[in-house]
Amino acid sequence: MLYWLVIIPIIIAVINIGFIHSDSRKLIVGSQIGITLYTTYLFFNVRSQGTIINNMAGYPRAFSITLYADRISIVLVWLTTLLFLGLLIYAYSGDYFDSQFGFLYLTLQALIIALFLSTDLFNIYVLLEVSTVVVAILIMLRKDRQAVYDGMIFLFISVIASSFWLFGVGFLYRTFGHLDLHAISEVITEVENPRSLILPFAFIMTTISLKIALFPLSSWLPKAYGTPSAPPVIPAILSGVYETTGLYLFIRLTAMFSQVIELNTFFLVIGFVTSIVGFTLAVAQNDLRLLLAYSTISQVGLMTVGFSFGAEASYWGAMYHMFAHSLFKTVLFLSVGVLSHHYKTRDIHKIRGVMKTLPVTGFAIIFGLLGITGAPLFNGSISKYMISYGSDSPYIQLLLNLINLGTLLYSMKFAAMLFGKNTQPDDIKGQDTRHDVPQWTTLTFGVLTLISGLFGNRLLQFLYGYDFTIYPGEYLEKSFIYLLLVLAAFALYKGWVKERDLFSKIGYIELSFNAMITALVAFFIGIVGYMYWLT
Amino acid sequence: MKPLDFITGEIVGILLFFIGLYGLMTKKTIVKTIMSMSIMESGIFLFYITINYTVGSVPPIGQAQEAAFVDPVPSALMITAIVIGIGVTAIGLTMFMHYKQKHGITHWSRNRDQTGSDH
Repeated sequence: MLYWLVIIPIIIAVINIGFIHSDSRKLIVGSQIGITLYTTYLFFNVRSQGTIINNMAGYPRAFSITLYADRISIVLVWLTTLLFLGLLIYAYSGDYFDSQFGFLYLTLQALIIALFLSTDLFNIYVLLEVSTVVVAILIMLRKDRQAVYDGMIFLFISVIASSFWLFGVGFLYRTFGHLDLHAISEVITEVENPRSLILPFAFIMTTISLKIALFPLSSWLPKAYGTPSAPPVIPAILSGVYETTGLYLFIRLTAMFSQVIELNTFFLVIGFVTSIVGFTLAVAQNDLRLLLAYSTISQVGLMTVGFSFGAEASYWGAMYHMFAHSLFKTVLFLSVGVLSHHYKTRDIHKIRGVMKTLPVTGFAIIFGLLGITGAPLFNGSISKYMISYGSDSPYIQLLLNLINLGTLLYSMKFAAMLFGKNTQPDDIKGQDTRHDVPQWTTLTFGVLTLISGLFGNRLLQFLYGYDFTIYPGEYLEKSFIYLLLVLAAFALYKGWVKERDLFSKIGYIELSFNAMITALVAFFIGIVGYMYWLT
Repeated sequence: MKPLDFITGEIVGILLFFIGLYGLMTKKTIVKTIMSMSIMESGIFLFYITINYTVGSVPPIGQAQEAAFVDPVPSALMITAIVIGIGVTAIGLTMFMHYKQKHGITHWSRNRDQTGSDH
């Protein structure tokens, strides 16, 4: 039964904070293993018997609150539980892991799982709102100045954005008298005047675009992800799992509305712009976490592009990229956590010689970077290959290659840390770090990145039931292009990016709070205007 | 039709929503941001509880007469939304008070400080 996945973490969280006064970490880890196993069982159930639908309180479908698990959502839930388990093992020995952290962590897990399963639009609003609060508290766990400021910005921006969602749902309820996603999508085609759907669609898509941080609504994301004092697992959760909830809602809601109003072209353009802005800013960063935060924006743009082509292969490619992104971004964020622990800094220019001092993390970083750039044999190559199937237009292919070049550029900047002379502070030098659990956890995720690339099309079949043939000739051609891009990126990095101040200036461009809200309103007006023009 | 008939709950709700949004776009004080958020939310609450209302309908419980019932769902939803709104406002105010007392800042600034902790 699906509701156990939501209830159990909450119950454990409450027991952990209310009834156990000693160390409760074992209980939390145990519960995580249990939930992961149960989700695995459910996944195989969905695979063999099809979609699971739970109507709460026995009311008929469309009138009750429904939990709904099809292939897409159960895979994401499975991924969520796996990542949460892995991150918990990573955090196990961290000094921030107390019962308060455990409470927030488990609650967030339950909320995210419920977001993937729920089909009730108002429920989704409640879940978005509560998860926002939990994430904000996790960001400012250490209560220092920057953390509280970032937490406030994240909280307010997200709450304002979800009130857009609530308003949009009100319009939908007024028109259809339903709150259930599937019930509405059954009757949505009977609307006489498509213009009556413009407002709800625009309200809801504004919220989702902010959640997944599409340009120009992405300014909050680096603040939330890049908070200096947040424990390293927080940005890993945000980027690996929390981001995915927004993309999941994007898929569901565009599928529902596209029966009446088609916005593919709009999101295709926005996706490309987001991706290009994202990697430009990522190249300009010197703080490791900020670099990865902007890289998340760039990758999300790429996924939006994949979903908006309207072709089947690119749709599943973007879906697989979502899965792959969760893995390699987790690897990279966790490695940054390890590095800043061992080097006492997060400045990309002050860390050198990682391969020698921390070989385990070094290999994890290599796996993560090869994944994110789409190197042959790694998971990114499969998903990017499939996304490129979406269009035959040479301009689109060029843009996709440009995005990949940008990805390679900031990966080069990241990889420069691996080599060179060791720059660790003297008092930490020479520590034995071979049995460091966080490092091995990071490497495990790195190896998963490789495995999910080696068995890419088989895993795609296994997870989503989608058959995709990779033609060796084409794949070799893509690998060749990849090599060319690596050379180009290397030349660009050496000759241009490394020395220029231009990039360091770009890196400080960010919007103030009021400008972010203005961007939100401008986006909303833009999307309404576009839809008026369209219908 | 009387001249004021177009002032329905829905219209006022939409207006309130955008008034709140205007406040969020223009005010730099954090307290005013929180107030604007509450105004925005009130607009949504008003919008919800007046949608699909027809004149002359009765409450869905405790009535014997034969008349159309009011749809109770929006009101039920709004009770939940109000509770969440209060919670969020309370958290926002708590954060703001903490921030003001400790660091003396009451406005949104653009200064970003990326140093500060080793984690």
